[in-house]
Amino acid sequence: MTHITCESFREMAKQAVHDHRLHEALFFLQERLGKGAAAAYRNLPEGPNLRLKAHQIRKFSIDHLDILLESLAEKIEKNGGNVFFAKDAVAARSYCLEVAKKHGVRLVVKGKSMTTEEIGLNNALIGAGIEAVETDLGEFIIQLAGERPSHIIAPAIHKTRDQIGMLFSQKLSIPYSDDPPTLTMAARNALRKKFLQADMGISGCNIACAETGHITTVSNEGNIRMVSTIPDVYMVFMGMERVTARLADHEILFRLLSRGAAAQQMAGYVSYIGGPEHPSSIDGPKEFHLVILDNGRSRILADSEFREILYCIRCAGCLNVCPVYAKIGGHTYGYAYSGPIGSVITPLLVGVNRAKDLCMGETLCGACRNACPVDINIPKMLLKLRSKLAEGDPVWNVTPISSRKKFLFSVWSWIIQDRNRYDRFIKMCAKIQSTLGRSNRFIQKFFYSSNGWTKYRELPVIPTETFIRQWQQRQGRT
Amino acid sequence: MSIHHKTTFLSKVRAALGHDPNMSRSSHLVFKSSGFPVNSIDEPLLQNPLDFQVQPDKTVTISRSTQEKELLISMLKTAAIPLRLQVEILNRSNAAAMLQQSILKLVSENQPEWGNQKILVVEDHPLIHQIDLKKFEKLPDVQVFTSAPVEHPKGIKDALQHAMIGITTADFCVAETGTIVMINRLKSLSLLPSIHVVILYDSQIVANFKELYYLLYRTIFHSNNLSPHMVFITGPSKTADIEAVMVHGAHGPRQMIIYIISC
Repeated sequence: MTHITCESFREMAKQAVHDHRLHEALFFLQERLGKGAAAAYRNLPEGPNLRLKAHQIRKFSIDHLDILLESLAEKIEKNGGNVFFAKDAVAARSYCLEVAKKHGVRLVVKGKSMTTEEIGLNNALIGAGIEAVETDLGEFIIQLAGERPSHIIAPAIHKTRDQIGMLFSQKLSIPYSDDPPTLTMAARNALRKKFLQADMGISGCNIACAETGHITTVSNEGNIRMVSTIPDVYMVFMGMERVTARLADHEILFRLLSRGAAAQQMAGYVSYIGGPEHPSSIDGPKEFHLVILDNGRSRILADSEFREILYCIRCAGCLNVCPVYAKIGGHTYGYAYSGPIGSVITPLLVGVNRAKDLCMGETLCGACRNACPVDINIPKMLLKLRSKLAEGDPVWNVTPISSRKKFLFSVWSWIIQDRNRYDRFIKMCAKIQSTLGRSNRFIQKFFYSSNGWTKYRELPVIPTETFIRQWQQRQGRT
Repeated sequence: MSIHHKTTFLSKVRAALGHDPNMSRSSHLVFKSSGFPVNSIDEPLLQNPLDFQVQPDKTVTISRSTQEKELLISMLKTAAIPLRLQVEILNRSNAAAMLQQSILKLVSENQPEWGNQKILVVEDHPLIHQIDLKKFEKLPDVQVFTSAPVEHPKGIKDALQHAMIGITTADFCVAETGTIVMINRLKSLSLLPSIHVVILYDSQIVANFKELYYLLYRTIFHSNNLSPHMVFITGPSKTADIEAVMVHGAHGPRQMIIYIISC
């Protein structure tokens, strides 16, 4: 049910690199948010090294995840909420549909949640005859367009204002405008009705607190507050790693999240919800459900090399600085998670071979690590994934991807381990090259001619005598 | 629903971390006894205790020098500017009159967004009782509702859905970021109206989130109590989802005003 297109990465990337509109949009986003976040880290009273403390806080939580989840669940249940531990996407979707059916739900309003995207929840709801309306403006836009999000925080960033204007004039029956405030107002009016009529609200969870028994939601629009306040039934989907131990951790984590995500000191709305409202309250929800999702995360947790990726708080800071993302956009990654975080977590969740192009297609420039509010070493994990793809790995079911490359490198390794062998090889290469003349196009002729590597590179002319030999001759063989 | 799913799930997590899958680990490993509030890396929130009092009506106030208060207000005003958040300081001696005047202006200068009635919904709180609401009720096209915690007035839900102005108090105001903190208060009152007005005392202002969380530990969040719900509101609603252009006025209130009463 979840739509995965990782296998089309190369194809989609080839198209995306010619999409100038996409590049313009992402350039502007990265200029504003990527640079803005860096400036925001610098103006922290504690300085940018606060990120290292945040890293330690996340490490502590992940290392004690079993205790935290138990505490969180216990407190929420004590408060009258329901907690469901979903081992995979199927279990999570079934639970949601069951609850929706029990309440005769016809209309669901959703806050932006990558977790629900990951498990393909919207399709499941639609399949059950339930209308599921995305309420985050970016998600609302792409839902109208029938597309998938291309960025974790700004899902419709790839769309221009005139494209959105056309879309709204068609789908919302309003006169055409490409003015962002006018378009936002149109969405405000269209969605208000939905908020007030909805039977059920669904959202994700930013960072739950095990100590106090709360989930938290963060937004600027107020749509998640609507979703968690107006309908009678409210369901939260939380990746199991999205919890911290102590309330005081939030003091650091929310300040960093706001900076990493949108270069803000603090996001517009942060809500702490620990269960249903009192039955006599005007506000909802009357029934509260927390779905804690595994779906492959426990496997990542078990691997001490990759466990660190679970520290991620989904701020999209890494997307806002990644040069590869800037050229290929979010859709190319083929899954809920794009950018540097996507290129590590997608292979680990859907299959390393299946998503191999995601981790192979990163430059390892390290910008993501510097932008990460919790200092996750993404480049290190990309290298680890690549080494598994080169060598194979039984634990992660990885089959080696390029036996031809591997063979060539083992031949090369054999050649260079012996001085004489190496000299004879180079002499042979020089002879072959000289038969082709000076502009030899040696590499193109003898190696993968259609490989991108050889299009703009060429081997220099190999001299018949190496420098060392010439030097030794001049020195007179000592 | 059986707890089987919970047991299997947690066993997997324990095993992944290298612990006995079938034995629940002690929570004392994580939650040490609460003394001075600390985070997971044992760092205290504040170096020195904060001089605070809990009033009979549960309001938390902090004792500060006039100089400190002025500094906080200046910080708050600076933070408010990029948020398009309005901050007005009122002197206690004439606060009631000033509030009356300001809100009257707000009512007369604005048009209702939903419906044709100018609906005001106010929180039932002493700070808000200062305002003579009866005077507003006499105005044409104006309706006033007071939300009471238990006995809701008839039509309050409909009023909230069409409200032009919602007037509330708050528990804290964070000067560094311009954030209002509301704990266990009616959520829709600060969410549904087009304009959100907040009234609080200057002694309720905290400097930053360290002070806020410190006070939360020391007052409302105890391990035994049922978890209160809480919301941090930083300015009117906004979005930048269209070409990363900032627009103020998304789904929450499109305008927000804070009145600080200085004592």
